[in-house]
Amino acid sequence: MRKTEKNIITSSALSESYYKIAHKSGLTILLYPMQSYSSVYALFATKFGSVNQTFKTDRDEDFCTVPDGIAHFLEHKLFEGEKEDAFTSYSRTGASANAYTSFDKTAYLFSATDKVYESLEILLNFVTHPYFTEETVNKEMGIIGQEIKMYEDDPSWCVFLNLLKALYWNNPIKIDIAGSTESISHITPELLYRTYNTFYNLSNMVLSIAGNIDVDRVLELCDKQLAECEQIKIENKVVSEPQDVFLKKIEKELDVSMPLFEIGFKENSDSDIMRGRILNEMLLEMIFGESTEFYQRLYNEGIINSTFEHEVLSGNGYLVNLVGGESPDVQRVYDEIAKEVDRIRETGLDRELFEMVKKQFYGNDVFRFNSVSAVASNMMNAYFEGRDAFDSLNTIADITFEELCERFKNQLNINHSSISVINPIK
Amino acid sequence: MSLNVNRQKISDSVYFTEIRDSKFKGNCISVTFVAPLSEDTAAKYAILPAMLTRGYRECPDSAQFNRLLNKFYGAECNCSVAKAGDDQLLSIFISGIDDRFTLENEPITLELSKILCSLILDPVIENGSFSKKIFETEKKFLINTIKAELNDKVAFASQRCQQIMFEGHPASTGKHGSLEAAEALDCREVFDAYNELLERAKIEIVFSGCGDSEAAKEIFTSAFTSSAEREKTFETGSRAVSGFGGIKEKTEYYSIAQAKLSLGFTCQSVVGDEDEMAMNFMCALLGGTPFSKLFLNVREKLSLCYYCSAAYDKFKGAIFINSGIEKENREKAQSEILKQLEAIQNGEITDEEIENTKKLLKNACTSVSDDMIKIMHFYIARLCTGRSTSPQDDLEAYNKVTREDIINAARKVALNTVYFMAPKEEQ
Repeated sequence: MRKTEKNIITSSALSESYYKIAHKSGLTILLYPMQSYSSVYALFATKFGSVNQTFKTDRDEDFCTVPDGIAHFLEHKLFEGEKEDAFTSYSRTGASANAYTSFDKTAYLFSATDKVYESLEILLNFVTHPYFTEETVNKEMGIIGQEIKMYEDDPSWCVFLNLLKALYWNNPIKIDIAGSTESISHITPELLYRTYNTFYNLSNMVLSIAGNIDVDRVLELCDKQLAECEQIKIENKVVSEPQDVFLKKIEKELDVSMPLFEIGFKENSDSDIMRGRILNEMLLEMIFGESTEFYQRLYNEGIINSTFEHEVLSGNGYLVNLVGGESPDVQRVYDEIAKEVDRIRETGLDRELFEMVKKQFYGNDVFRFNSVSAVASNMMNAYFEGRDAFDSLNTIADITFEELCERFKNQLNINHSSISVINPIK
Repeated sequence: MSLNVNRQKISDSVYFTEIRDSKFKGNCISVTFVAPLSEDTAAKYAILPAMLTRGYRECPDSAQFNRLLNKFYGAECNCSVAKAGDDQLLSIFISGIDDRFTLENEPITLELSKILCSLILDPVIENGSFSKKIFETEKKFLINTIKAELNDKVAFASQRCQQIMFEGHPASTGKHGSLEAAEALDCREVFDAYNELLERAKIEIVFSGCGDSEAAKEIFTSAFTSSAEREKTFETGSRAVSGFGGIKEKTEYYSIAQAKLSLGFTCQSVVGDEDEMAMNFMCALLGGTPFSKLFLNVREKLSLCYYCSAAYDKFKGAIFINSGIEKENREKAQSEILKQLEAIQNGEITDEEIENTKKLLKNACTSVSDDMIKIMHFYIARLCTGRSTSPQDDLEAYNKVTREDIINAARKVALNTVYFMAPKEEQ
């Protein structure tokens, strides 16, 4: 029998702290009491998303490959219960509930101001009690089919997913999170159970709660609701991925007013995902941010507009620097970006701008502790990156100009980039 | 939890509203101009927030302006153009962390207030008008923004339904004005429109956060009293849409994978009416929650769609129900949606449905106080209709709504417009 162990994680900058609890069930619980708030935001999440396509546990003989979109399908179906669905249960507590699936996680959440512990009981209960039948699985095909079609008409989602398809040969990051109407038609209750029993093991999950909570009451409830999980080891099949991109350019036509583009630089992933991500975000801000002459010049020429954005997509086994937006002349933007990276390689990064960007990142990070939903998400994301929620504040403070310059040397190589374009229909 | 709200008139038709709570780690300040929406002026006003947030006289260069914001710990400055019935709302926002989290005790909140004032009252002027360069750039972007409304098909279908239903009302004008009006914009005319807005629009300044709002209030008070004469304030407010003239139907064809059905209903209840909250309650019960009639029947039981929801336009006295479906399922979806509305009209609602909807509405009202940005937007929307009631007041009003109130509200709802966006190959 395992024992529950409580640790306190503290930030001196914010003068705040939270509990990181290794629960005896095998689940990690993160609790951030915010007593002056009236609501509570809770996330129960598993490290399982669309990238986990071929896997086995140490008890399975062989790897199992599941249909595209199964993590998202499972998310929908978990709401169904033998007696009633979770939304019906929540309707009696007044909690506002939802769930989402991303590339590498699935999260079930609620926000509540009243009957918090009843809502928490519902959350813990339905996520740990799967109920899949032939009938309920079939019923969901129509609903998710329409969700997939809605995304097919969404140009900003298409331009992004197409880019990942262009960048990668084999990495499962290139798979649509929701799958296709064809792929989900192969999903069966048996597959859902096998997947569930692998990834919804409590040791692969986290419960993250911020807001007006009583820590002891939460733990009491967890003691009651959560049975000790089996100790399993999950193995995700590692695919080999060449350094070069699959396609340099990918295009699609949709009913849009102006071309949309997303440029991606395929980079080597980091073992310290958080630090790598922050370094790259700073780098992109210093090269393409609104404070740069580059941004203002292209903006004034009308080549880019306020939709121009940069972002870092990173996780276990993938790292992409993204730059995207709308432009009447996509080729020109691509060329300008390549030229600007070359130029800065010659002249070096701007030290003065670095100091400002550092302050900007610090301020933005403080803001991530300003609401219960942001705090709970923050704790969850950091945990899945193998870190604590305050580590990003410390990392930002710790990063030096020299470290960033060193980092820049092996980022943003135009030879490892792809461009995805959504063109208006001719 | 009740909010600590303080509202004060600082000049003719200029109000400063502060909502403070020490639990937050930052502050946001907004300035909103309320003007009547009209085909004539919509585009001229709509270009202004974007132009004004490019910089100001003392800091005319956009890159430098952004560096200044970075220095203030990544303070953010942005703007929005919105529509509230027959009115147009033009807002500029600035937000930043509170002074107490700065590394060297910098008075950020004070500085951000000054910047916001300067952006609005002290823009970059060349030869007695706006900078031609800034104007031409933003004009191009406004034209593109209007064209790009098409990109988001979910929102676009709903917008088309509203335009058709509100024909002949100011509210049929898009929030950014028409494409023609945007293309015809002239720098001098836009500058005149800016001055008119400063003189005649009702101005709502909202401060939400944990910091010292006194200093901010002083800055805004002196800036706005010394600015333009403000005597002839615009007449604002909306006219309810009436139900005469039969049901309007329109189908349009686009290159899309999923068809969209948007139904517009008249409901004869507007802001300030006795049954306003009952109407909102009814709308939530019909299609505003994951246990609403539309969600449970159109989505869960018949698997016709992923989304099917109802929204109440309290300015125009209208309700809109939007859904994305297979084109073949149009009749089936429409008749099921109407069937669910009829069910409420016939009193087919359980006490449990009412109680559960009430709980969710209560949750929504109470949680506003936990997010300083939500608080700000709540008050901007509220104040533009001349009211300053709180989320707590809404909660109490919902508590008073009875079963009969809900049924009576539903009985006022009548189908007015059916808009169908169909995939092109069907043409």
